[in-house]
Amino acid sequence: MINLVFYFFAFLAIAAALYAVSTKQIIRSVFAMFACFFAISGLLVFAQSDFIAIAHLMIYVGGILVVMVFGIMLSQKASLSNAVLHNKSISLHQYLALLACVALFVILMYFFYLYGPNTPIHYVGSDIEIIGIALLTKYLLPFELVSLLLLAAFIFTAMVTRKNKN
Amino acid sequence: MDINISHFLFISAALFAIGFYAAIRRRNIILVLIGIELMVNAAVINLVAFANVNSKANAADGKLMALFAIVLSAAAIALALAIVVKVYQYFNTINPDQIEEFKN
Repeated sequence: MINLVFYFFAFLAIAAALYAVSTKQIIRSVFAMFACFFAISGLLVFAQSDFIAIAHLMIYVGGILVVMVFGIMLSQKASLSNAVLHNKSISLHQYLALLACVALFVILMYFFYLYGPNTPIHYVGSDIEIIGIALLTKYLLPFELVSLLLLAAFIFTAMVTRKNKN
Repeated sequence: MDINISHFLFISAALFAIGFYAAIRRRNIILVLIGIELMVNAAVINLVAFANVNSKANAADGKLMALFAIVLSAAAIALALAIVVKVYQYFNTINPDQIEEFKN
């Protein structure tokens, strides 16, 4: 029963990602990414890391995709329903991209088949305690550095997008 | 059939390949960014899945690396979308094939 939920999330993630990269309207692809990120967050729960799953849900679904919708609204000429991607007929470039993608997938699966571990995942309890302890002892310096970098990135973003006076 | 790490490896390989396809097909800058986000997510799934392999002594390593990757990709996407808005104001398009010169 619980495996069915896992397979549902896996199918939803891959199908939504495929729809997002193949649809012709860019706003649809962003809304497909909502479903994809939600499914990935569910998969992270199955990988025994519930805190990462909640953080992923808040950052991606609540933050990044909303920013992306704003980016589309500010960078399309016509209204959103007419924001069709520039999609010419199927060209050589597209075939080459598809070939490279399939080759990458086959190579990755081959190496995972050769060297990937088959360890079953068992429930060991919540991971908030070990993450909290590690974040304030072993990973204190990267934690502070990444928060500084986030602050610097957001200040730079505000500086880039503000209107020039002259 | 129990869920083991190879299931997560399969999903992350598929997501990485799809994101790679979106990133190199280059129809629209925002779609390229979505492809990069998909690749980051595939890496995060791998990191979290491999955190289950080792003993409990370093169980937090993979998870914290995934957390840092999520934060860095959030910062990167905010910067990239700011640049996209500026590029649109300058060139009036965000199709990468139509943006050819950077000097005026």
